[in-house]
This record gives sequence, structure tokens and C-alpha cells, in this order.
Amino acid sequence: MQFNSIVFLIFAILFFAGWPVLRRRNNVRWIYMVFASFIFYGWWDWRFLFLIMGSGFIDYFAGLAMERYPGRKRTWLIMSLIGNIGSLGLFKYLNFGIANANWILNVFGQEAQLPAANIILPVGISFYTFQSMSYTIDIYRGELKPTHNVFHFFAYLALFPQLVAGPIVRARDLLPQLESAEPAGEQKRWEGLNLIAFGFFKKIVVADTLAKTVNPAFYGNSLEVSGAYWWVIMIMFGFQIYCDFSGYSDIARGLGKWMGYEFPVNFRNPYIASSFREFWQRWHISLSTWFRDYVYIGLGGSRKGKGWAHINMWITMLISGLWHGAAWHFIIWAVMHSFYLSAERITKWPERLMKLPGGRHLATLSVFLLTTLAWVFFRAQSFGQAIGIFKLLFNPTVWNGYMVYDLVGNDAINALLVIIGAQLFFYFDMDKAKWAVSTTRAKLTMDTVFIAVVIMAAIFNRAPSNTFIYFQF
Amino acid sequence: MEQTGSENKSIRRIFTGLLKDRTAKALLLALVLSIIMGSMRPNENFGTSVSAYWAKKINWKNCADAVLTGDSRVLMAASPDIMERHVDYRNIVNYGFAANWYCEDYMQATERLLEPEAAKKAVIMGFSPHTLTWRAKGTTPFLELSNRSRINMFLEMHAGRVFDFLEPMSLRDAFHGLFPSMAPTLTLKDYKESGWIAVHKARGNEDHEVKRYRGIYKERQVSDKIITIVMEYVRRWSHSGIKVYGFLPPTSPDMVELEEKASGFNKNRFVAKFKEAGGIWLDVNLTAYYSFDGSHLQDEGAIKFSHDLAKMIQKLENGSGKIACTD
Repeated sequence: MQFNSIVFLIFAILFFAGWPVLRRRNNVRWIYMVFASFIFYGWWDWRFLFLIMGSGFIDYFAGLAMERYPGRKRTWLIMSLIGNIGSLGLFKYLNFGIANANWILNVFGQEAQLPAANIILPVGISFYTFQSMSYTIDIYRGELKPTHNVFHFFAYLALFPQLVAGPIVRARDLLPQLESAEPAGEQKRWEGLNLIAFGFFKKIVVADTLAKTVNPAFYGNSLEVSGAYWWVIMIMFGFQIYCDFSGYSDIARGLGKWMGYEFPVNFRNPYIASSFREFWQRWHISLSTWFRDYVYIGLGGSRKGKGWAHINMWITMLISGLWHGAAWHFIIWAVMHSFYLSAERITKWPERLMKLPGGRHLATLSVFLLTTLAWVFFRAQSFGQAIGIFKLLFNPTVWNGYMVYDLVGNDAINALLVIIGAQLFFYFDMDKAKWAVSTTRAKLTMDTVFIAVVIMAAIFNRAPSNTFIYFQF
Repeated sequence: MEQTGSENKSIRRIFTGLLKDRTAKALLLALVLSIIMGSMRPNENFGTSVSAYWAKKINWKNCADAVLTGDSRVLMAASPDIMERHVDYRNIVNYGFAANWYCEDYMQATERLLEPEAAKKAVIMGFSPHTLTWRAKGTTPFLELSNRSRINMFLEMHAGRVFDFLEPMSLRDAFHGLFPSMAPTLTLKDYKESGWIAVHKARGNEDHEVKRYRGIYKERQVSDKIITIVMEYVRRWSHSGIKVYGFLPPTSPDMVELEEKASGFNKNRFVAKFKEAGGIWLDVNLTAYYSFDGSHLQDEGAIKFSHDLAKMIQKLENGSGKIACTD
């Protein structure tokens, strides 16, 4: 089920109609959450419910076993990791492995080709697998006590707002919240509405409008057009993916608030970052912190010195690239970001630049443009296409206005201007201005009208619907 | 009495609570604004509700003895109701879709439309060069509609007016809905149950489609791959006793010129292949009918064309030999 669908609207109305009553009864609440979440996920393909249940049961029992047999904690953890990584490997990486094995066989002159496996990638597998893994790792580290009730566990693992595209929530943060039967207060409901309204606006107005222009650019064989055209397309894609993904996270957080729960903030206006370190503190925060806590620190972090810190960061980033997709272009995207981060750590260029007049703006612009370049590899349909686009971006002989005029004349430019305007609002701290934080009656009324207008705009200015980009991960 | 009093009080308390709640107030205001906005939509569509029209059309099955296929040029040019007056086919449907191309899915869907028990069957295929261009992963309305969920389809069929009311529109549209006389263009569309969309451009005649297609043909050309798919189906249908007619849908002289030069379409070669596969080619006078935008036919032109097309088919089916371009 997608948030931007009629089916979800009906589902949400039914769920929230029953929630105020059913949440008060302790056992009923857990069953209701699990049941609703399974309907939400099973709507896409009910067969994959068995996968999520299978993967969940492994971790549920591994958690219990670690508590009961503390001497064999490590064994149970390894079993849990094998289960999780094994299911990811099978569904997400098997065909990638086969394709690479075939390539190697070809290099060595072997003509025999291994057949590709006919496997469907289950929606959100990377998200719920990581959430499930964090449960057992936290128990292993002694940071969490396992839950004894299977409904509690599945309510944590499969809670529908964040099940398929995050934010990735830790059990130690969510499980205690789920215990609560307190209804969402007025303030929480209001915050929830804000998040939901802006989330939908970002997704169905901005991201989907940009998608109408960005997607066809990659489908066709239009690499012969100008470099200027591709710069505009790539900037549009940068905002498309941001609005698409952060829109989903906002809606998830808003629904969570309406249920009375808090999910972690996943995006903090990443394009206003003035260094790559800051960018990764603002982009997909729940995944970045997951990798930091469970991979980077697990590898030793910066404890063994600067050289090892770089190596560990590169390993973490490469795994993150693979997490996004089983393809080389995702790995190259990760390599580019690793390089950016390493170069930044060594040269400290953003700090130096910021000492100059206007340096902060220059640093922010540089980070944004370098991030845009990395998106080429993230978005391209193939490695060859990415290289072709790269050549055009840096070839001044093809810098004519061809096709750019067409881009300027459509809705995508309006959507781009709206989102850039919103980013500048935060960049210049206007959200912290006196008038913005005022709680006068007039301001509160203005906020109410503003949200109503945002909802109306989301209804009437929506573009043809697209699947959320991060569903494929 | 006492009980009714306390019930009234609690209902009042709920309403008072709701009116104090900012979330409820914002949602209520959003509802009011949306109703106002939706009411300002320019009144340009008639006939069946647009949402219900598409939802029903994509779900047609075993319902016709003759099917008109193609893109928006066929969609707006051929009226099944008018054609039925001149031919022996009793259930003709217009299965055209905007921006359509002859992909496998579309050919299969066309086949499913034919009633298996019909005494005689025909597929009448309109080939604008654009329907023969390959679009690898691009989504067209036909494919997008085919992928919609059943529940969406059900809702659109039964609550089409609500969906029409909430269809996207710009503030400019709302302004023109409020002051229709200030709108630079006025295009009236009548969505017919038979699948035809009768379009009447009351104001603002333009040839903007020619410019758009110039861009399209720079991006993609007529593809041999699509022609092969088309010919496979034409051959199969012809062998199974289905009459397969082919024609180029009429358009503006500028578009004809553009497509001859820029689309990569070789009419003679295509017609030869079509006939070789068992199809019957209808030579239509391409520029004899009025186009309102440089590509599609105005309703009067479409009515005239539907008469002409039907008469051509009837003449052929009656065995009266040579086909005239137009009557």
C-alpha cells in the first residue's frame, strides 16, 4: 500500500477510527497494530508476509535465546545475522552476484553463463531487515532487554507508518513508547498534521512534478543534448529524491504522532549543509546513524588512528552504497561520497572556505554541486549512461540552450523554485525568526490557514502519482 | 428527557472540542477551500464523468464486434455511433488512448475486446507515426490505467464525479472557471460511452501540437520493432477471420508535412507490409477535415470523417471494389 493512494486513505480512515478506542485495551492494541500493519504490507503481495514473519521470528527467538543462554550470546547473534543478511542476499543481491560471476567467467574465456534467478525484490526489505538486526545487536550489547510477547515484537518490527521506507527505528526507542496507551494530545495531533500535509506536498506536488521531467530524460536516448540541460535535470533529480524520500518520512512521522508515538527525524534540510560531514548528519539520518553505530563503530571507528578511520569510513560508505541497490553505479555513488568525506577530513576545505567573506555560501553551493554530480551515478540507468551524462556536464562545446528552454516552460521549474525557496528559508534561519516562532492568536490562525492551503494545494496541484523511490531499496 | 439532555450535552462537548482543536479546524478549512476550488473548475467536460470514462474503458472485455484502435488522433476522430449507421457491425467501440503506441499489452487488450461469439469481427487500426514509436519504459495513459488497482477502478467507476471534482487544476484554471470569458482558450470535451471524445475548440485556435511533435520526433523515431509487433498481430487476426483495416488518421497539413519529413515513417513500405500480413488498407484524405490544434479533429470534422471511414469499410465489405478517398 502506498501513502499516495486511495486505498491507503481508506485504510487510514478505518485505522484511526478504531485506534482511539482499541488503543486503551492493552492486548487488543498490540494485536490491532500488528494486524493493521500486516494488511498494509500484504496489500502489495501477501506472500511476502511470510518473509517478514520468518525474518522476524528468527530475531525474536534469537533475542529470547540470548537472554536465556547468555554464555552463547555470540552464537545466537551470528545466527540472527546470517538469517537477516541471508534473506537480503537472496532477494536483493543474488542476481547481482550472478551477473558479476558471469562477467568474470567471460573474462576467463568461459562461455557458459549462469542463469539469472527469477526473484522479486520485496518492498522495504532493506528497511525492516536493518530494523530487525538492530534489535538483536542491541540485546547482544546489553542495551536492550528482549520482549517476551511476540505481538510486541511484531508491532515494533512491522509498524505500518515506517515499515517500508523508514525512518529506521531502534527497538529501545520504540518498544517503550508502544507500551503507552496515552492518546495523542492536541499539540501532537497538530504536529502530526503539519508533517503529513508537508510530506504529501513534497511527494505529490514537488517530487512527482519533477519526476515528469526527470524520468523521461533517463529513459530516452537523449544524451546528445546540451550539458546545461543535464545540469538542470540533475539538480531537479536532487530535489526530486529529497522531496520523495523526506516526504515519505514526514508522512510516517506524522502518522506516528497521530498514534501517539515519536519516530526519529530523518531529514534536516540536507542541501543547506556546508560540509559533507554535515550533509550526512542531515540526510537519511536514521540510516546514517545505523551504519555509524553498527558498522563504523563495530569496525573500530576512529579508535585505531586517522588512517583506520578513513578505511572504516570507506567500508561503511561502500556497504551503504550496496544497501541502496545491487548495482555498480550505487557503489560508485558511495565511492564518490567516501572520497568527498576523506578529502574534507584531510584538507578541511569547508572550514577554511568559511573563513572567507561569503565563504559559507560558497561552501554550501560546492557541497550541493558535488552532491548533484554524485547523484548522476545514483540515478543513471546504467554505468554507460552515467559516464555519458558526466561527459556532457563537463563538455563546454555542448553548452547550448537546446532543450533547456523546454524545461523552463513547464511545471517542473515552478516546483523546483518552490523547494529551493523553502531551503533558503531554512538556510537563512527564517524559521527561527521572531515572527515565525510567535504564539500569538493571529499567528496560530495564520498557521491553520497555511496548513489548510497546503492540503488544498496537495490535492489540486498534485502530479501523476509515482511509486516512492526508496521503496525499491 | 434527562437522557436526551445529557446526550445533547456530550454531542455539544464533542463539537466544541473539535472547534477548539487546531487540527480539526485546519482539516475543516482545507475541506471548505477544496470545495470552493473544485467548484471553480472551468466547465469544459460533458457526457460521462472523465474518471468513470477511463476506468470503464480500460476494463472493457468481450464487448465489441469492431474495435477502433490508435492514439488521441483516433480517440478524437472516430465516432462509433456514427459509424454503426453505415456498416454491418453493431457494437463498435473506440479504444484509442492519448499518447498511445502499439505495444504488446495494447494489442492483447484490443484482442480481448472482441466478442468471441460475434458473427463477424473487425479491428480498425489508426496509425499515426507516433503510435509506431518505441517508448521503452515511458508510461503512457494506457499502461498507467492498466496498472491501476482494482479498488481504484471500482471507486472511479462508481464515484467518478468525486474524482473529477478533485482532479488537479491550477489557480489559473480556477480563475478562468470564475471568469470564463477571460480564458484565452475554451475546449469543450464530450466523453461518449462508445469511447469517442468529441472535442470542440470554441476559442483559441492554435497549431501548438506541431511544435510539440517536432520535439518528440527529435527524441524518437518510428521503430521497426513496433512495426514487427503490429504485423504479427495483423497476420494472426487476419488468419483467424478477423477483418483488419488500417488507415492514417487525418490531421493538419503542417503535421502531415512534419511527419513525412521527421518521423522516420515510410508509408509505402508500411502499407505493403500491412497488406502482405493480411490487412486491408484504407486510403484516407489526410487533410480534408478541420483540426483544432494542428493534430486532432474538431467534432464536426470527426463526424464527417466517421461517415467517410464507415462508408469506405462498407463499400469494401459489400465488394463494391475501389475505395474513394472521401465522399
